[in-house]
Amino acid sequence: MREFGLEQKLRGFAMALLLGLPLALGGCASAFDAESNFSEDGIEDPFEDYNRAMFEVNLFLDDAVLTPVAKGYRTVLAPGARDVVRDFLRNLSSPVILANNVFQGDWDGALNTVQRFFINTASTGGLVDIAALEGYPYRKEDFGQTMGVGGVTEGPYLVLPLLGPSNFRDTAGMVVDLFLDPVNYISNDDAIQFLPITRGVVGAVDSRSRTIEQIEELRADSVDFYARVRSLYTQNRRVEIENGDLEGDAFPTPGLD
Amino acid sequence: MRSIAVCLSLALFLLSAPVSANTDKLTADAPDAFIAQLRDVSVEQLTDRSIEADERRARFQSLLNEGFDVEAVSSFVLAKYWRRASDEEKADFKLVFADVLTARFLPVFDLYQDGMQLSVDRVAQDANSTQVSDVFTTLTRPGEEPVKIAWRLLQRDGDLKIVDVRVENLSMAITLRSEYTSMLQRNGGNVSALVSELRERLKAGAVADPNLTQSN
Repeated sequence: MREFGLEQKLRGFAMALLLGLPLALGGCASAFDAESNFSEDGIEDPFEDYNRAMFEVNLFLDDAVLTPVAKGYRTVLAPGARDVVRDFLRNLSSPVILANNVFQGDWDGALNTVQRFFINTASTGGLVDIAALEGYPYRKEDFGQTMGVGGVTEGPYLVLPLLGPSNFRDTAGMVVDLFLDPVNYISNDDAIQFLPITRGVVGAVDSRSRTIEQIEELRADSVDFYARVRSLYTQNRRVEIENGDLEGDAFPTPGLD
Repeated sequence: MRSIAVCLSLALFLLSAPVSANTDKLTADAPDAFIAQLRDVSVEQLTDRSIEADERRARFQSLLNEGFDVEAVSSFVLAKYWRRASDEEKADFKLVFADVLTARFLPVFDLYQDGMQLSVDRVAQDANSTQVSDVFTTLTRPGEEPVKIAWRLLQRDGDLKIVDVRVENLSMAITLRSEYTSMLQRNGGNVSALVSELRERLKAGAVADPNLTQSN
């Protein structure tokens, strides 16, 4: 019988989590009254009770583990060094971005991704985002966005364990992105077999370290933090799918609507 | 997620300068000129830290009433609960909402520094209504990424007022509506309960960011 390494087990666990949870939830979706499933701003949230509970768990873990670690990381590493961490991880994600550029038929984006990858890798081994300074800005793409561009609706809002706000579409997209990413195909025997996990953890710490004050602020004056995050996540994903090109017509007008 | 709160605060800060007396300083009748004027008046009036706290507060509130359509925003963020609320509840909410915005954004006035700029980029007329327009601006700060901020203006009775602010396309009105209506839905639509919750937070000082508030 084949022995599974830690990395594979973790990956299998993540897959099971990502795939299994929505399916399990989907099974009982029909039991809900369709009318009350939508929030005032049109977000479908039939699993609100589960989502709120998971949101609390995530907040607890964030307070107990991630934020202290992120603060330590910020103390230990100078801003320049933290940018190296971020830029390196971004460069590593180029293949996934490129694949999604292509799936979206976004050839300008694909060219940009390729140019960025070569400029950054050739100049500094991906450690510094030289390309951004040269006029090739970083723009994240993922399969959730690709599906959004293709007209797939968000589906129910979903708070994932550890990973936080998502929805059915973006969760499925995350799984596809796992398969698209060459880094995840590193075999057990390679010296760098822990790279995928390490990357995930370091990436989480780095991005959290960049938003400590902002999230504190968002949380402090909120009367319903869950609803605020749900709204901001959903709005932000819509912006990402449009690549930021939203005109005013996409928004309501208080006083008229 | 962008640092929405901070950017919004800074933008409001740069824009929100009310008027010392009750004189109407926002005389511009074109959307872009209106925003530019609001910005200039605010920089002129609210960057002076020697002003008494009460006076600054009064100036901010007077700006809020002159530059923003607090009534329209209030009714939007409470949505169906606004229509069901009594006149007293509505008046109560408008008061506390103005206080929330003041407590939230006034401390940011201390953050003003040289080199901060809010440039007015362009105006877009809404396709569906001649009363509605968007003013697109960019906030630049030394050493930070530029932030795009759009202001939605509604013209009523010849007066221009801001009815929404969007930081990197995230709408303040939509976000607050989502939050307030969610809370109201969970407490049975009790607007008074929302008002007291907001009051409590104001009293506890949770609304003002301690990092931004200087002793005054």
